[in-house]
Amino acid sequence: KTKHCQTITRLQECAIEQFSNFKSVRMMNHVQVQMADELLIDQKHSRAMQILITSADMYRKEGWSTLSTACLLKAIKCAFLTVNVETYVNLCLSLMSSKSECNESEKQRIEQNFYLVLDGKAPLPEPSLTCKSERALVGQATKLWKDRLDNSDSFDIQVPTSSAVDLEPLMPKDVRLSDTINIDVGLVNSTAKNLEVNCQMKFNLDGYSADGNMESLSLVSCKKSKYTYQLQIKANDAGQKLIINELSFQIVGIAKFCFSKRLEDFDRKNDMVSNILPRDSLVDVKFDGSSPALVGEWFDMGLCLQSREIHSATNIEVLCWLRDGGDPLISDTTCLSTFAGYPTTPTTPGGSQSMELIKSCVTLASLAPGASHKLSFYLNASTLGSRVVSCQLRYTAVASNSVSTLSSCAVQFTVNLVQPFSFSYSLYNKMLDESKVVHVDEDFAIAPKITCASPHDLVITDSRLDTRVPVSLKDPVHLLRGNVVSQTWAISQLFPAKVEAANLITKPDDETINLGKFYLKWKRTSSDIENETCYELGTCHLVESLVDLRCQLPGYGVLRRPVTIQYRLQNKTDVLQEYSLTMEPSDSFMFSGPKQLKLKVFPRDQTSVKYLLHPLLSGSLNLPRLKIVPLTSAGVPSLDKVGMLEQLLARSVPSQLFVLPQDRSAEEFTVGSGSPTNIASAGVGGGTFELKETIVVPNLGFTKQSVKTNG
Amino acid sequence: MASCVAVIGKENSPLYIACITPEQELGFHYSLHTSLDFIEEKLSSTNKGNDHRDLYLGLLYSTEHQRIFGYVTNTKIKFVIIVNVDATNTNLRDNETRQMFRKLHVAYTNVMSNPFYTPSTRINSNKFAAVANSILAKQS
Repeated sequence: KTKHCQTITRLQECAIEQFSNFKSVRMMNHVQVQMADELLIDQKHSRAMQILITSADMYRKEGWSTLSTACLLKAIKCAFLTVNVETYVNLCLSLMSSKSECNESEKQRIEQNFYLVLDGKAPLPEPSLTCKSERALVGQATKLWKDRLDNSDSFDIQVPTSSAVDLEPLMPKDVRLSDTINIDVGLVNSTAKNLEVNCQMKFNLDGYSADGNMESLSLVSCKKSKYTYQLQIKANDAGQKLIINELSFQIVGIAKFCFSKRLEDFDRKNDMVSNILPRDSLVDVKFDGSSPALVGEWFDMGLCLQSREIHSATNIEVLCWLRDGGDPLISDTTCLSTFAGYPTTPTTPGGSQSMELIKSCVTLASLAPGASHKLSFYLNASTLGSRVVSCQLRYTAVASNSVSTLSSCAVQFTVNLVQPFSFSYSLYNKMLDESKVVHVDEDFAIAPKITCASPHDLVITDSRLDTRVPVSLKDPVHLLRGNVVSQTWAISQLFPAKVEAANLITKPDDETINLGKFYLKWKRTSSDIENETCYELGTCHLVESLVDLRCQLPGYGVLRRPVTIQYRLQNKTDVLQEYSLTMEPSDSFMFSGPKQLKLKVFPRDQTSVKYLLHPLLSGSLNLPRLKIVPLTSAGVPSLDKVGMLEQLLARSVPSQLFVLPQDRSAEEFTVGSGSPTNIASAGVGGGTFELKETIVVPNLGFTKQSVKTNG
Repeated sequence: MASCVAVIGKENSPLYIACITPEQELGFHYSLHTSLDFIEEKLSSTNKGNDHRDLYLGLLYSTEHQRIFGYVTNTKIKFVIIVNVDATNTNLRDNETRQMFRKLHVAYTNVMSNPFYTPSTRINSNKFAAVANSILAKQS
């Protein structure tokens, strides 16, 4: 081969730099291999070897084993010529492996050299080293090999990624403190000889490396086998990762050569790591809360710890958090706390905020064997659905090996939520008829109604209605306090209210008023925790009447006794109003007063009309109907306001009056044989009292009729 | 003439390599490996433009003795054909090269349709080898 001058190597270095700048890694690698060839010709074997080993590694990672093998074959020549024992043995192991693309004869030759070196003898020279200059170097190298092997005490050989003689450990992913860790070690021997090796593993955690000495392992020729090694986990290492950092072995009988494998550089790093988990808990966590929970309730989950440990469990810590706390739909509507209330400050002891993954924690000093203990965690949700609460228990207990170990368990509880009540409300006018609108300066009533939807019995502790201006409220007719409701039971409360014109800001006909909010305080019959639910009342239209009509009438009448009925009209406008009043006759009453009347009501003034009614019958009687027709200034009926006045009459004036029968004096009472009988003396010895057949007295209109009686 | 036909997987490892002259196989391997840089460069430049990319990449690079053509499927499988530059092969048309790649693509699709074939492993199919050999032989 022509020995190129130094220039070409420099040019190749420049090319490598350029390809590196343009991130053409493979092209750069190829030029490096070409540069290594030039260095070989230039007899700079050390540098060439380093370049070839680096390039071979890159080809190996991308799966180009032909190219990798070609580079390694050149590198092994360099290793032989530079008498680099460690690298030579490393390259032998790579080239003898199953992933190498050397042919069988080549592999056998390399294996022969490998064992020669292990026996302390110089390897045979590479067959391609045939040219004159190389032959001189081979002779020199052979001599140096012997000196090196005889004079050195030990050689540390790095085991390559794919090696003919290999130990491949495999750690279990997770291991518990109470368990023994089983490490499977794969034994690979692609050589023609059986080998016995002493192996040692080094771990990242203190105290394990000494335990990592394994007894002598047999590596059968051209066979893969497995050895399971057991290791005891130390109690203090819960929550840590146990990693095999290094694996080293020595072939039995060949003490000079120590083979080591740095596993952190390997591809299958995850197979060398085990997570040390706490021991399985023998304390059970049970959910004793009375499901389902109610929306708005501070629901006590009632977690019960039941110990199955033989010894006392100490340093018990119970953590609870919302499993879906990262979801704003859950975290914004749910609060999990160790007390039944919202925390007043972010650092309130014992409390927690409903923020993502914040954990509520309760600690317990100890739990005796076989004992149980109840813990309270409170959940408050403002929407329907279900909430999943994750619970983790951690404690220290003496395990079966008489060592105090950390134990833990994790459980999840699902809490379903239902509404406690369904809510509706109604508006009533003065006549207690349901209404959709509210009239200015007229009394009305708001009647919230709640129907219990909870499967648990609930006690109402308080209720109130908060209204907003312009609605003013009076005290409710009755209180709900102390009432117990079961599922499907309904309860309602009446709040008299009024919208006064003085409180209005805008014109009432355009106004929609908000009726306010109804607050209900309640609790379960089996609990002392009080909860509050708020219901929003809707809006309604506010209407202003032009006229106010009031009717004064006694609560009842008596047959044939006159009753005075007074109608008072109040003009609420600034204009003169004129009305035509007509009292329609009724079969039940005679009345005296103006049957037809036209009257004028001055602005902001009122006027009244009286009628005298004479009831002719007894019972619930229809009152004579008063008809009011508004008139225009010309005295003509104003049709656009007729409807309004009819509505006013319907809600302001009663339509019926209850008339009691007339009192009967003792002289008028006649029973039996027609002769007057003194009631006072009946049954005392004077007169007879006979019960004859039934007398029917028809309740007819005012006509004189003779009533025939028997006897 | 087509000297080498190769199929390279999406992880850039070789799945199939066929060469017309076994003595030059190592050299072809180096050329195939370095062509991956050119393929990556072409892919990154076409990805910035439109969504629809032509599978045929055309001439990747050429040396004194070889011209290397590339073709990348939608699943990032690369087909590379190395053509020796000589007097008889100067008029190799673009259309002919496209046809060779299409033929190779169909053959690869048939390999993938085999339920016993594990994707991303070496292709050992005789039928595929016959197609690859026909591409090598056709142009020779």
